[in-house]
Amino acid sequence: MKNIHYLFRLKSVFLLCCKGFGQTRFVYIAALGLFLAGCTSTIDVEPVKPNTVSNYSADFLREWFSLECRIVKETAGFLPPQASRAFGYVGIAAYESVYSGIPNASPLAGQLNQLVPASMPKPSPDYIRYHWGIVVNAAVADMMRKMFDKNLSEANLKKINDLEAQNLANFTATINKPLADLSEKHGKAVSQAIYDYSKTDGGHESYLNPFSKPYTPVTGADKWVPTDAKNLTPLSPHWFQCRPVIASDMAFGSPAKPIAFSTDKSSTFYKQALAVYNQVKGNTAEQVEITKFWADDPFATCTPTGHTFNIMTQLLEETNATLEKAVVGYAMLGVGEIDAFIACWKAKYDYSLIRPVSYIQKYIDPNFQTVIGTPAFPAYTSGHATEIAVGERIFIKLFTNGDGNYTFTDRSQVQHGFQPRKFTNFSAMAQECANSRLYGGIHYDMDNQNGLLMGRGIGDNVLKAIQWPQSVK
Amino acid sequence: MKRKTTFGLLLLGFVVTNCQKIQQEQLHQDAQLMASLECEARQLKNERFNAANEIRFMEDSLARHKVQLSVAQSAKIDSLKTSYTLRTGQLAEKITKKMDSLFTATYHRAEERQQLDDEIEKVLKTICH
Repeated sequence: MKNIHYLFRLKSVFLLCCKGFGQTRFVYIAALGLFLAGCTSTIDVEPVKPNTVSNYSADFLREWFSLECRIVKETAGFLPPQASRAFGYVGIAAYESVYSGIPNASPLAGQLNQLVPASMPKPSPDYIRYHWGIVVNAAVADMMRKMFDKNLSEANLKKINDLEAQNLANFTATINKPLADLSEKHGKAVSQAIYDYSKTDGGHESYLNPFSKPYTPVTGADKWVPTDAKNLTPLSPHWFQCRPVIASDMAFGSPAKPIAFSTDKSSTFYKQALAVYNQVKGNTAEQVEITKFWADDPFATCTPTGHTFNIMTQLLEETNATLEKAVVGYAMLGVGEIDAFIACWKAKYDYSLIRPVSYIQKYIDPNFQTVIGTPAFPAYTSGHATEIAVGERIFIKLFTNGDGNYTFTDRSQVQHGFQPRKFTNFSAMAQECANSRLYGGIHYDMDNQNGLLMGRGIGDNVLKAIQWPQSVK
Repeated sequence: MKRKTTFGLLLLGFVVTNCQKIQQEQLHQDAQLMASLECEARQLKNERFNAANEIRFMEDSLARHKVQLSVAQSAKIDSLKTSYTLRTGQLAEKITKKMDSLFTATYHRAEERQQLDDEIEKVLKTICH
């Protein structure tokens, strides 16, 4: 449009010259015309673009989730349930801060369990002019500080503050200060409201005592016993009492009872354990690598939830998703991951089932060793299988036409020393993650298969129970 | 006229070949850089898993003899874990930033990234043992 405007100006200058001016004069006048055209504002002919979230890049938000991964790794007390909660609420806050900039989007307030619309800040009447980048930046930065709060190191607090300031500086270069302040204020207000909501869910500050000590585990031949000398009580035994983000998710989070415990060699339970034993003994080199790839391994990664968020980040980047799709994607995954861990932890402590390593060492081979260490909590169902299946359903919805087919290379573990892994379908990816726990000797097959079923149910419900904006870009 | 066309075609061929050469060189250079970082990460990963196993086996043997970890042993394990976490985190950040910058600047399409992956793997086979 601007170019057409210039052309019209040039044309008029040219016509003026043809009416009797010499060539030299013509050049001067043409130059003057060009100069004036350059100096004159042409804003009046520029069509006004609606200020929607889809007009913003998601680069900075992806960077926030990469930083969150690093902080989870380095902050004491952020074990799988606590990490799912931290990632989850940051995702929820990001979406809730900008939904009013997404055409036809509904707020999560009024749709999430006990999150009432009255508790949320109202956007100012100027909200249609908000800089949505500044809004999300403020909401996410604030939520990160709050989620890691008392255990956040000085260095990581500085990283959060620096990234917030750097993004803000980039954004404010393009808009006026009062509007930037208004946008920032709204982001922080939403973050505060979501944080207040999170404080009543039962998991608040659980990172200060993730094992809920003192706790006395239930006992019995079929019951969990410590699998390492350091953790004599299991992780987060009361986590199942946390408030799910979607109440109805728990209906999908109730797996069938595990196969009845038995030490009889002809029993189905014994066969489940024997299958783990045989698998570990006969693992191929690739199966060992798969075990470690998905283990989200010792001291170094941001837990299974972080891995799934990293995959989301990669998918958003390679599909050139805008801020609109990014906030929707992270919120969907956040809701699902929180509920996956609550549901899974309920099953774990409903049955408190003995881990394969303990059973095998007692009834099959006392010298049995797993490929990697067994985490300190009961077996049934697998947390990995449950949470990745949530991711599977959400990725299928966001990145495929429903068939799950998507060729991608998971490079999220390259940073931790793994070769990238290729997949052509999200369900195949989830299945590999679940199987990795069998290869590692960490889970019975029933833990994995029923975990996948639970996770898929929860994931589907996250998509169904909430009115998400459709056709996000 | 014919001579001019032939010359033009030759020039075009030269430019295309040269561009490909540059791209190939660029790919190789990028792969070298990433491979050296990834090799470091793979070695650190092996160290980490070995350390985790050593800790696990030591704890197993204590548990079998119904002996609890001493405070000193526990502190030593924690400090080892912290050190690995920090080292891994720093390297992970470096790798992620480098990979992101290469993807943003040069390798936009899935096939280009795959090409880089393959080239990195080739280099890793020669430098990382």
